[in-house]
Amino acid sequence: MACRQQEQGIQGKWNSLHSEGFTLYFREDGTVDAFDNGKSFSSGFYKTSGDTIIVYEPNLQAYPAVYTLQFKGDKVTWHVVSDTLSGRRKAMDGSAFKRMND
Amino acid sequence: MEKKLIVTTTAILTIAFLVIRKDTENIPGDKVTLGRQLFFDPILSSTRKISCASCHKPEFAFADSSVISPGVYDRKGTRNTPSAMNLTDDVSFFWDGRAATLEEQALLPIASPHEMDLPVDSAVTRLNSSEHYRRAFRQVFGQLPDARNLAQALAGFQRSLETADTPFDDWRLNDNADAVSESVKRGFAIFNSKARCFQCHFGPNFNNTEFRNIGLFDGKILQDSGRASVTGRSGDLGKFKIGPLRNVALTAPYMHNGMFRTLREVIDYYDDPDKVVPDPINRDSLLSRPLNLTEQEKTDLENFLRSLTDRGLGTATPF
Repeated sequence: MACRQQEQGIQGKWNSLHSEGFTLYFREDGTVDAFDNGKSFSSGFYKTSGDTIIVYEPNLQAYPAVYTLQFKGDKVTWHVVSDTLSGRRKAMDGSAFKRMND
Repeated sequence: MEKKLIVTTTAILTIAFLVIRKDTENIPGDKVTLGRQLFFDPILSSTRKISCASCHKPEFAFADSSVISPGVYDRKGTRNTPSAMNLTDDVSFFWDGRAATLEEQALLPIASPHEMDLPVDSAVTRLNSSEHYRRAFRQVFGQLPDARNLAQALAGFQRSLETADTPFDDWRLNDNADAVSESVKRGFAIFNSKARCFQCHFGPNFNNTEFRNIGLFDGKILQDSGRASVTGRSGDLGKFKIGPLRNVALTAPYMHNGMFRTLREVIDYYDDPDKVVPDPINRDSLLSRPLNLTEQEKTDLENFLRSLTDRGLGTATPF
C-alpha cells in the first residue's frame, strides 16, 4: 500500500508525452522546476491536496494555477480547474506525463 | 626505366587519390556541417575578409566583445552583436525583431552594407562558382546553391548552437547542490523576487518573445527607436527584444548599443535606471522604482548569471 501511494504521488521527475524534451521535477520540499531539453525552464512552488495541485510561479503569491491530477500506472494527466496564465494552461491542460526512472 | 615509370605513376596516383580523398572528406554530409563551413567562410562578404564568425565569435558565445562590430572596410552599424546561440525557440530575430525566422535572419547580414555588403544573388553566384560548394550543396540538398538553401544551411547551423550544460542546470535538474555556490543560490532567489528579473527573463533561455523598453531611449543622446522602426507604432518606441541570459557572462558589452561594459554595470542600471538615463521616453513601468539591492545582492545576482555559462564553452567562472 505504501508503495502504491508512493507511485501515485507527484514527487519526482516526469517527462511530457506530448512535448518531447519537456520535463517536470517536483521535489519533496514543495519546489517544482520545468526543463526543456535539459534547460531549466521555470521554477516555482506547489501544494497538493488529494487529487488537486496548486502551482505558483517563483514569487509565491504569483499566478497560482489549480489542476486536478489523474494518475494511471506510471502516467499522470493534468486537467485545469483555473489558470490565469494562458500559455501554461495551453501547455498543461489535458497533458500527460510519464514518470522518469532515476 | 620501366620500373622508374611504374614508381612515378604510382606516386602520382597516390597523390591524386589523397587529394581527392581529402576534398571528399571536407564535403559536408549534413546541413549543420555545411552551415558551419559557410558561417566561418569569408566568401559571403564583398571583400572576402569578413565571415559571420568575424562578429559572432565562438569564444564569446557567438557574440562579440566590441561595442559595435566592424563590417567590411571597418564600417560600423549601430547595434551590438547579439549571441547566435540558443535561438531555436525564438520567434523573432535582431534587436528589433525584423526577421521572423532564422532563415530570414541568416541572409540579412550578408546583404547589409554595414556588415558583409554582398547582395544575396552575388553570394549565390560565388557559391555556384566554387566546385566545393557545388558538390556540398548537391550532397546536402540535392541541388545547387540558391538563396533558399543557403539560408537553410546557415539557420541549421545556428539551431545546433544550443547550450544546456551549465552549473545552474546541473543544480536544478540533478539536485547537485555542489554545482553552484551559495551565492549563486541566493542570486537565483533574488532574480525571482526582489530584483523582479523573472518578470521578463523566463523560459529555457531566460528571455521571452516580447519587446520591452528598459529606458535606453531618450530621443536625445539615445536615439535608437528599436522596435518602432519596424512596426511604426509610437508604443514601440525604445523597445527591444528581451535578451537571453544563457552564456551572458561571455557576451559583454551589453544592451542593443553595447553601453554597459560589465554585468555589474547592467545590474547597477536596473537597480536605479534614473541614475544612468534620467529622462527616458516610454520606459516600462516595471522599472519605475529603484530595486535598492545591497552590494551583496548585486554580487549574488551576478554570480547567478555567471552560472548560466555552458561548461562546453570552457570559461565558466569557478565560484
